[in-house]
Amino acid sequence: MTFAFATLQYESGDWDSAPLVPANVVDSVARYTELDVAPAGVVVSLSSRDVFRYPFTYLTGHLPVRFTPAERANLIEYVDRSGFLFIDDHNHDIDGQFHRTVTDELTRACGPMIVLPNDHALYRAFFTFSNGPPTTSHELNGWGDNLVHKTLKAVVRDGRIGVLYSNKDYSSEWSYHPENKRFLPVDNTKFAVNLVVYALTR
Amino acid sequence: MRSRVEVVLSALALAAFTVLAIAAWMPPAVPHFALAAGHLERVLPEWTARPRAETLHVDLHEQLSPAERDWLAALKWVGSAVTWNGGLPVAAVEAERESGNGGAVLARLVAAAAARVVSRDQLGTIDSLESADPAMELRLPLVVGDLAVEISGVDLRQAPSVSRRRNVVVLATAGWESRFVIAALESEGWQVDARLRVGPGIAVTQGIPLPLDTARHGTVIVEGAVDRQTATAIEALVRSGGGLVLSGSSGGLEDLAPGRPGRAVRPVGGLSIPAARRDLEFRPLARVAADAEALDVTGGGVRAAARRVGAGRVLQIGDEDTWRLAMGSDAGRREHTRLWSRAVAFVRPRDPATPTVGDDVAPRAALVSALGQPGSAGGVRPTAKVPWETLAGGLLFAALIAEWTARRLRGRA
Repeated sequence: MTFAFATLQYESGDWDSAPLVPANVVDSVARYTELDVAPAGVVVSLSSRDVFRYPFTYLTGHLPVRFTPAERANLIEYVDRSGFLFIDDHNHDIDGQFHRTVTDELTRACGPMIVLPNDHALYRAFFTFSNGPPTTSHELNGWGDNLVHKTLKAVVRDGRIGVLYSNKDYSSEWSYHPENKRFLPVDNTKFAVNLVVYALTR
Repeated sequence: MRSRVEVVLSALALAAFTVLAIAAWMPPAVPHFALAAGHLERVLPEWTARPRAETLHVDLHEQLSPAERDWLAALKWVGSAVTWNGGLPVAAVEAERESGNGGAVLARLVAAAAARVVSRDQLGTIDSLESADPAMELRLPLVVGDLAVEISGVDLRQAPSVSRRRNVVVLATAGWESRFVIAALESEGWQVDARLRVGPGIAVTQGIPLPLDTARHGTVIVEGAVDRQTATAIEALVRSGGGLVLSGSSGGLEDLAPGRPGRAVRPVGGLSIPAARRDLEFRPLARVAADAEALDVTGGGVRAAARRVGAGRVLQIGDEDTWRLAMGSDAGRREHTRLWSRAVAFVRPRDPATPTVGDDVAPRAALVSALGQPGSAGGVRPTAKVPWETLAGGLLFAALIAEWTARRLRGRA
């Protein structure tokens, strides 16, 4: 069994706005764990049945999101069958188009999200993040809504996270070539390892 | 000389009279009784009061009450030869209230083929059916009070015991397979402890998976290799009655495995999203041990095999990536859950049931356990005994005649 990082393609919006994230996450998972991970990410359409081959998926964008009926139906089934979907707001803006539309779609498909407590198992799945989700440089620089978001949100099914939602713009934070990690004093993709390990173990 | 003979004869007559008097004062011995059920309530006290009861045969045409059965067993225990015969139907029930599933009751039934089975609770009839297999399982979502089951006219009743299943331990490398197996088992109410290896010396744990403890753990599922220390602990658990399910290579446990996984076989026309278990890739089990039993054989080879190791059981499954079933469809998810729940149920040790006063859940089995297999009345042989009363009577008569003759002949010789 090989873990594959799958980016969700959807018809509305710009699903491919963070093209370097998959390679960077794959690099970190391979660097810190002994998990069997596919060397490259894959792209899978949310409206395709192939989405059920990938229990871990990633969805991002800047633009308004409106799911087609097929996408919405697949999303409902995907979460019901223990899939793990990580959605990140690439705008880092709680009043932005992406945030408002995608949370509206999520609520329609999966029900309301809850605020994930900062002592959740997600933050100890591999590395320990005592204060909850790590802050991004884009939050500290005052981009987007000029807020530091203290928590993440989630759709929880049977005690497990089905959808993890972030306004912190990890899509910008992690979208760089993996080789450039050597220039960073602290690897900022460590939290991505937690996401993958949590999805594979909970 | 004659007077001495007469004295001896008088003594003999007196002794024989004494024996007869004692015999008349004591109740007579009954060598063999044949009774029918239904009369036992009246007869058993009388029978038990006899000091020299030796053999008793009961022809059963109806179910014995637990009290009657226990009474007969007690008689057998103190030395009476008790046998029984009759056409009691095979009927047994075991009801367990599951910790998950909203407290649903799982009823395991034993019945003859085509027997009529009716289940009831405090509120009335729940269901009725005709048995297709000698052993059946019924999952009853709601049972109020005791569960009553009628099988071929035999009424059985049990207060469902609360499940005291010991935990399942999953030892694996972190991955979709172990993650979906845990989710499937938990959805069926199993308590799962897990140790999922993530990195060198790093593992994600759930519950207390190690050290293995027979008081807490009943079954171990291993996917991938285990170290020698863990393998030794697993073998000890299995030999003492625990269960083991092997999936994938399961290195380090070759001595326990029923077979060796071979090269992966992809089903012809296999789907990337499997609709059923037959669509899954699997590794046929080769070199199946002589004492192992192939449980699932398909065109490609042995898909599952099991063997006993000590007091425990080991099941090996050749299916690869069964999680694809769970993700593929709702039917696949149910099949995946059923596959793993049954695998664990197959090998898990039977937890001791909590006895409930008044339960009579397997009357025929209880009768065989108490009195032995049914046997005919002709098989009962009274214990050989000396007819002391007859001998004493004959001796008394002979002694009196001899003494009378001696007296009559006195003075003639």
